[in-house]
Amino acid sequence: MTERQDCASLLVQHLGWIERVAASLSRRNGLSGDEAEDFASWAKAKLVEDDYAVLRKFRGESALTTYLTVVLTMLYRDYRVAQWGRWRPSAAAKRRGPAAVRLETLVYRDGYRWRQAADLMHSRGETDLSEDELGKLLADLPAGSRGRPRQVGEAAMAAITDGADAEAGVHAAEAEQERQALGTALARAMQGLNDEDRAILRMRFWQGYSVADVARAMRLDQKPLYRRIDRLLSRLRTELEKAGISRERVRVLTDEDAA
Amino acid sequence: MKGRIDDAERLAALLEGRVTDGERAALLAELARSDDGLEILGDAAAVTRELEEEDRAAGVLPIRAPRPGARPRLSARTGALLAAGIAGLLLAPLAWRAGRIPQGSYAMNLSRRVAVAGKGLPPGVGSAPRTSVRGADDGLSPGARAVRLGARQVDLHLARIAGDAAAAGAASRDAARLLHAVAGAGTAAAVYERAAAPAGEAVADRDLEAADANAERLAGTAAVRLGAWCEAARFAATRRDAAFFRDTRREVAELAATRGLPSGAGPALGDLRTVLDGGGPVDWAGLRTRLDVLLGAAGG
Repeated sequence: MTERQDCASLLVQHLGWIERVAASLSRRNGLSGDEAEDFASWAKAKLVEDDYAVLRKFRGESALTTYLTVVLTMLYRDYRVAQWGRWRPSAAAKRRGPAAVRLETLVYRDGYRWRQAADLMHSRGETDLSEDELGKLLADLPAGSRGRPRQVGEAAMAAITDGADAEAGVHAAEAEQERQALGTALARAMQGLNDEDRAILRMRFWQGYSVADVARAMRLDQKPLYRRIDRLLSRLRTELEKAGISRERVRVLTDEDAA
Repeated sequence: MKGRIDDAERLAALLEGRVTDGERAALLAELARSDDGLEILGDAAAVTRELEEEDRAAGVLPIRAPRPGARPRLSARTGALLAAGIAGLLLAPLAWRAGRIPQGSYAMNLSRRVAVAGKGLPPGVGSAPRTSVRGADDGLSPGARAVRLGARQVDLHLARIAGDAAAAGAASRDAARLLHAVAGAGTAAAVYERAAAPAGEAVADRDLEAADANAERLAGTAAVRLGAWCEAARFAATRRDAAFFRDTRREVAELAATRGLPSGAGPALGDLRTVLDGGGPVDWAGLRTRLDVLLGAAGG
């Protein structure tokens, strides 16, 4: 059997796994049914590309299924960037589960009004939550799109007021100053942690992974990880307070993160 | 995203706990600075966990992987001494039970190692190099019979893990037939026959474990284990699972040093060990061929 046939055979044997991973990635990232199918087809084409280069690169240092899972995750990231620029689900949405991610995607990535998004999710059977519950869910998510700038029509432009009055400007400047001070203090406090602790906190709070997923990713026992995260948060609070960030602001920040 | 974390296989090895402490530290140092890297690692972990939960709910046995948090931190010698001491202390009061309760047969443990949760039957189950069993008067030597028996035990467990009742039935039927010519193996053969019946999946794993262990003892442990390892290794080679060969290296060395293997096994096993010990990139197709040759030579 030639290497090419060998790789083709391997791909066919693992097709079921590949499709399950692609479907799971699509669910986690709020893709619609059509988008999920599109991604799965695109990813499979990438695996075949250049005479199965991805499979030929495999050295056998892990199980092939795990390797394929990581490869598909990398491919999903490339796909997302190609389709929607730097847009990605927020940590808050990820923490709240697939319905929150889908809702956020429809509203902030695709530009639907939230009632339209709710209708769409209901009509496609993507959630059992009521319209009110979806509204509350959306209110808990950070507002605004982090995606590629979209072209908007004149109507949308007209809706923007020029009312940046002086008071609002001052508040905005103060908020920005506080945000920068917090960012600097946080970066300094994080520098005091070792690599593993930093990675744990970033995954848990910046990226919104569950403790179970962080434990799985880092090969750590889940139970002690809860206590470890509590200790790290407590240490960060102390460092931030030492840096002059108000106790109230720190509490709000860390409570938000822990939610 | 550049560096080690750009390498999907390094991240996969990290997820499986198959990196050294030094490699892990280097990977974490890069990940701690890379949102993209952490996102890929986190998503891959979350997806794996989700699919494993689906498999568990569907009743698919999980693959035995290193327990989370069980990364090696001690030297092999210190770890082995410590583990032996702890195991001795913990298990001594329970030792009397060992004769009554099977702890997992060799074939079953190998099968769990190479099975892929949630996937169909591994390709090659029951296929060449030995597709049929010729029955009690087939002229097989005792060693060759034992090798075939070990291979069919692995086929049986892999098929059960995959939920393939037809393949499990065929493998179990073969195992029973092979045992008909083995003195005193009637009880074990009866268990395999029961497992080959249409409702064979209802036979408990622990009954099959006991049957495996008895069959192994009566047919010849070394030869049965050689057959079981060869069969599992064929699937591992098909899947390019280098970890399987790394993890079972010592077992192969011990088997090679054992007396009582079929005469045809020696040269083929020696040739295979030379390849496995050679280092460098693995020629997977070549390895699979060598395993077929070994199984064919040892199994008569």
